[in-house]
Amino acid sequence: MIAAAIERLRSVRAIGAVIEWLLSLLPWRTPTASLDPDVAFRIVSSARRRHLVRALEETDAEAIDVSELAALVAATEYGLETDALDADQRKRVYVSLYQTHLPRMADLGLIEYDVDAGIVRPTAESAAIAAAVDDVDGQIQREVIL
Amino acid sequence: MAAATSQGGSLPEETQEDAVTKNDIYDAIATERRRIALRYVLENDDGDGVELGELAEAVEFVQGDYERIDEIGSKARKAVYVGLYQDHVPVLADAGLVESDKRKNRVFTTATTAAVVDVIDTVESRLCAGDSR
Repeated sequence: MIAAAIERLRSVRAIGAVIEWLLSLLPWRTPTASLDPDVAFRIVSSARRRHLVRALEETDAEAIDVSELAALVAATEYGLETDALDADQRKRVYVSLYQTHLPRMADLGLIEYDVDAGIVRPTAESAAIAAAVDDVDGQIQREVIL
Repeated sequence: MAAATSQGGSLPEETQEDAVTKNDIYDAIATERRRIALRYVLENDDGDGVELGELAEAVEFVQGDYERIDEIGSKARKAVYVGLYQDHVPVLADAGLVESDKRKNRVFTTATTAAVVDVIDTVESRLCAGDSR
């Protein structure tokens, strides 16, 4: 009888795991943000900012150095590994992140940016943007660029 | 992402000048006026396109603070018309999202109009959701 009870408990737990997994597939479990449409489309429409939010998401670190972030973005843009980038390629992206994209995204509250420490932290908003960009990129690739 | 770049050794990128790129699509939907225009053309082209003046009126109505369409002044209507004619419709057409017949002043849907309106919907539902929680 005890064995039967344990067996039942186990199957209940298995069902729980399945339910948890099914729930994770539901749309409201995907990260969303409530941005002004102008802001959302402006961010998403810039290739460099798309690469930036994705790079932030892909480094699982809580914070990332601006130069490291620049190298990740440059690697995507030039289609190279970070080790294969030359100094010019890194610098060009670094200066644009530093002077334009990071301050602007921080002002909009999309990232946390510590200028003095040279460190960027992702936010719930940047995570939502990265996830949306992933999906939209796929959508464009499959359905629009015929 | 690294996998995508390495497996697609021959990405079109800037090699073919007329090929529409992902960036063209993102640029096309970057402004509200173009997003409204695209949706209007999709919903109102029954095969013979949408007249540019009608499109201008529709865009101004959606963007502006109007209750009725005849409140739109000729000045505002003209400004939107010129913007569409000179800027927005060519951008959309270059991205392959509409086709424009300049002689007849009409704008038509293409095979990709609906898919791009879907893309706009994805961005809006994911990033401009009222309250996500």
